[in-house]
Amino acid sequence: MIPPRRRGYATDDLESIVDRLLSDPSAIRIWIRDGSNSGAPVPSLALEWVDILEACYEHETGHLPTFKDAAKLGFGIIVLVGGLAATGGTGILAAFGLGATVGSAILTSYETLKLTAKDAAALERLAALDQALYYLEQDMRDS
Amino acid sequence: MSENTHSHHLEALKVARGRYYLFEDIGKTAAFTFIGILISARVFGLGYQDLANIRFWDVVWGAGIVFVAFFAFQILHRMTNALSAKHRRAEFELKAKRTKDLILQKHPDTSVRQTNTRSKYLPKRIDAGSK
Repeated sequence: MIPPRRRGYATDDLESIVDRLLSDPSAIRIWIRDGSNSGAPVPSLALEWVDILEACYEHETGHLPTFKDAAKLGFGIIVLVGGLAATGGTGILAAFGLGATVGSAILTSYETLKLTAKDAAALERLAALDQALYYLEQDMRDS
Repeated sequence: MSENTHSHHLEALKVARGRYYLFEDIGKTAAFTFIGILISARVFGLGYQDLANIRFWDVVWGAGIVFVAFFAFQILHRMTNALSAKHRRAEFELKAKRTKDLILQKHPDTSVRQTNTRSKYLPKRIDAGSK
């Protein structure tokens, strides 16, 4: 995983912000008006929220699969090929090959499914952050 | 991204997520493969005995080749994703910078406010590097 860059925000907080934005990205509009007497967005607060959104984005992209995850799958393939080659042998070697083939196929399949689900979840959260930034920009443009 | 496009996008992602982890689908695929083999055998005039004569190791090797091709594709896909994450971050940073520039352009006397009124959204703000 890519560690989120430290910007002074707790990871839990960033996650709760993204959770909130995931259910309603337009919540940012209320947040940038927070404490405003006129009901208009507060520019200094908006600047801060851009920074926070950026920190959230960086944190969420850290959940996307990385080269390390790809390397794990690569290792699975090597074991799979090795196992298949060994099944051509006889006796204990063939038994070991069959075991390695089936085992690595199951583990690599599981890893693939897990990563695919992780992909989808992270992409969904990134889309919410994109949308929140869009709302913020529109509000500031219109203000 | 418009509001409609966004909600459509989210909806599509939810639907796509709902399609993972369905062992039922794997079962269906296996059943259709079996039916396909039987139909093909019938079309090519092969009897049950001919099918029974297919060597076990041929099946293992065939399945192995399919698995290896599938996982090789997955590795490429993951590597692409890793690159894409980097690209996405850079793209978002550019958008964020553009928004900040817009705010400062429209409100030149703006400075980041010192009061912590948004503490209800960030209840546990910590100093940089302390975690």
